[in-house]
Amino acid sequence: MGFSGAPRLMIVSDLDNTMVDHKDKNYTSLLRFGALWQADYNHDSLLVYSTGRSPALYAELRSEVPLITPGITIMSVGTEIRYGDTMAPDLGWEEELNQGWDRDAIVEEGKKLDLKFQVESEQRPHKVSFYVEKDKAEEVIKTLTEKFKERQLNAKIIYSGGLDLDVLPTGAGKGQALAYLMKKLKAEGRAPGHTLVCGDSGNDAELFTVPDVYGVIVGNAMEELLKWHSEHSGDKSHIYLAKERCAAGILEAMQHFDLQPNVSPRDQARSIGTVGEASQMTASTVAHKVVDYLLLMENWLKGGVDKSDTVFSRLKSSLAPDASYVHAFGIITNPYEEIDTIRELHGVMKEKPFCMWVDRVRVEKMSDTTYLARFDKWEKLGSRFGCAITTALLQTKADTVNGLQWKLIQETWLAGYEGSSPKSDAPKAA
Amino acid sequence: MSVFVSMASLQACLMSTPLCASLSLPRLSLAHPVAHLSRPTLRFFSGDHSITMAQSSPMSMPAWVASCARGRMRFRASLKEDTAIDVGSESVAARASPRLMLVSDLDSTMVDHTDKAHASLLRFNNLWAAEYAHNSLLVFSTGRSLEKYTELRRQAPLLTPALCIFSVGTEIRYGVTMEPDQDWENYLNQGWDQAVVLEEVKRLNLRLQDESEIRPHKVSCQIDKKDATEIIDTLSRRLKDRGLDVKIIFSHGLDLDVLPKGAGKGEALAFLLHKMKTEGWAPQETLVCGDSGNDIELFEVDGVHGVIVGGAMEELKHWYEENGKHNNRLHQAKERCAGGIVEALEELSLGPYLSPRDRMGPNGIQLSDTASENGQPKGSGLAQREVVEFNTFFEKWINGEVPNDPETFQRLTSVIAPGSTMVYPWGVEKNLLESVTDAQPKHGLTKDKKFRTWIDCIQEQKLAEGVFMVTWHAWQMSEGAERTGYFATAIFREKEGTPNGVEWLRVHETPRKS
Repeated sequence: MGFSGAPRLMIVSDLDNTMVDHKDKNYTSLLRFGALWQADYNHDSLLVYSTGRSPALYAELRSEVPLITPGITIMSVGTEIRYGDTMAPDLGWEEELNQGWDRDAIVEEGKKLDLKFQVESEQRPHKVSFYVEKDKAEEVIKTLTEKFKERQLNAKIIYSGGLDLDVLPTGAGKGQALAYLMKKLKAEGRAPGHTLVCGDSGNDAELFTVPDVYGVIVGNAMEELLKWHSEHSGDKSHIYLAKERCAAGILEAMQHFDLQPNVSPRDQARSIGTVGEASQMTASTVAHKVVDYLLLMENWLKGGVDKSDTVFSRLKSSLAPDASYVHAFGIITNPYEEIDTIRELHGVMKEKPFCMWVDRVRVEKMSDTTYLARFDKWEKLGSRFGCAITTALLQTKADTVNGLQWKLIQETWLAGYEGSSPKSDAPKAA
Repeated sequence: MSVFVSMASLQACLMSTPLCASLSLPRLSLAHPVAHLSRPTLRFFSGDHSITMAQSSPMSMPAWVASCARGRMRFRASLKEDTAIDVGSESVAARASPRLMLVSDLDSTMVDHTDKAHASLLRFNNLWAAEYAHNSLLVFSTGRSLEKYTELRRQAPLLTPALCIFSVGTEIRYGVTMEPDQDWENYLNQGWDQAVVLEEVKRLNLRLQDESEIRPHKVSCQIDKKDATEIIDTLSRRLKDRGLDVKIIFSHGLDLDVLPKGAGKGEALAFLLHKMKTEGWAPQETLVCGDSGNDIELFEVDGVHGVIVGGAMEELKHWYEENGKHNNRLHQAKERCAGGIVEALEELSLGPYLSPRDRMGPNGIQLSDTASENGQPKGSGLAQREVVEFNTFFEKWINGEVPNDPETFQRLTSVIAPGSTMVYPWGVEKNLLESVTDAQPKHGLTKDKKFRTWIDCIQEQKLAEGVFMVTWHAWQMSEGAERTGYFATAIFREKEGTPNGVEWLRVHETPRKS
């Protein structure tokens, strides 16, 4: 978590088929959500992913799909809690789960029933995972439960996706992990203003029973969750059944529950916006403008905005005449002087599987006129990702469309995600 | 190149566009004649005594003044403007006058070829970055051609000068992009014809130097010392007969350069000083540094200070005995090369002479005596000095050149604001305090294969009250390995109780394109 206060909003979301729509290779709604989060929530709210995936599979997903970085990651069906960018584990949670947990005994029982084990990366300290066909599931669950009782093993079974059978400590699970987290936050005086949980399948059900949360079941939810919902006898007024799929359903729920703001910058009129008084500028409005500018740039490249002088002058006036851009591939230019080359790039990415997004946007106010922004700028072309860790300085400037100007942009390729250098032979760097 | 979008895939769609680095400053124009040059003369040295031959027509005013009266110049300087620049307008922005302009020869002056570790050059660089870069001008004046200069830059850790004077004062080139000075070229074309010179040189069967040393306004040969007098005599007569007006310089006991009469290191420097004066930003002091015959003219330019470095050539030492000894603006240094330059800064009282390296004691780096200079605005140049001191300390720690003392290490940790982060050139972002603390146990890690760093093109900018940005080019070199360079930016905030009055907030390094 990049901030130390109580989160204004906490969103706890499953990944596969909740946040991430695997049917949409353009990941449109995921990008819409990401833009909203970075522009308006990253500075004071908490994003939590709660996934059945193991760390290995989570890393795989991050390398395939334009997911933004969460504040907390709960993996392996609520058995692993990791904090921040460094993914530091929650040792207290590990200790709790260790109580009465005998992993070897569970593996034994699984072998006895000749169950099919999932791959190595899915076997975790507090999770034993099998593949079990739908038709055999009920019986297997019944037998295992008996065996566990017999041997007095502290274990429970979660079956989801019509295939995955996970055995976890009784105290584990997405719901329990969330409850643990919320208890912890409360104890630190950081209870979130609102919490929204999001899911689509069986193992998400527990999320909706945690007290004092809003919930959304996305439009493409699985039978087993819808069934749970209809059979659930408790108060259901806090749960919303979205019409839209995945992340679009999450946005829909935010509107339903009147969690503000809830319109993604990607859905707003494609312009930078109105002139802002310097005095009204805050770190969070600057963050919003950073997202807006990058979106405008993406739209320009994709031909999503008119190739008009008005739009172009917005791009240009947002750059200080003495701005400096240190490119990740190792040369320094003055972007204001080079802005005309961008004019020619209008629509260059039209029809191409290209998108740009920002992650980990953090803006700090240095003075009334100067803001320091840090973010990761991602680009995706087809299946290739490139990411530049970016430092930027912005200064307020009256009489410009955005009220702000970029003064410095410096990039370094994120290790493992190097973009390529242009082939043109530029003159020597400054 | 487009802002924010750097995928190579765009290149297919991009027209190739020239990329300009660094800020271009407003155009300059010259108007006023000035007569501060001493009379240009032919001179050469043969062994123990100097013979000077006067020019046939004494000049009272350098002809180049007239020829570039309405010249349009683009001058890229390492000095940062204090006032905003209106790019595109023709008005000359207010510019601070450099406190010192240091004009130095390279071979055996700035660069000591007998020291592969370049110790004194690194010490000079360290001093320059910490105490001079923000308000002074560095100029190299070399006999080398651009090509040979580029070669030298690969071998020795030279800083980037604001401008370079090449090929014995026949080429003036500005900034990083090496834009030539057109007016200077035009001036040198008078009474000069390279083809004719080459012909006459061939007629005398003189051995030409490498192709790279034959330049539009310079023809260079190698001759035997014993033949020097006669050759110079004959050649000058013949060229005069053919209607040319040349200057012949013999130096290093070997090199014979034929140049346009108006050329030379001294003339080029005078031209430069005149231009700066006209524009109202002449340096407060000028120090010229040399070691050989072709540097003599530098010392003769009006009003300059000069240092003859230790290990200088006979011909220059002799000139000093004959002409310079009484001049209290000149200093003959004991120390070799760049060490001699630093010695002169001290002896001639031209400014600070203790670099952070020199001020490094067992308790870390002693405060600079200029940190509390009266009248120095708070924060000006201090963040910059902090960058140099911090890096110097860090280098010495890793090399084990300071005692492994935890209290001493606090020099580094005490100036980092909590929550500060750094982006490393290999692509990770880390908490700065943590990663600096992680370096503490690495004391002496490179003691057997010393690790050397230097800082080039350092600039400080005040962003707002108490907030500063420093940008620089960081270079690192381990013994026996290729040097690596990074573009670095750091943000600082004023903080009381720190050695330089500032604390670090953010650092970002990007590897240079190789």
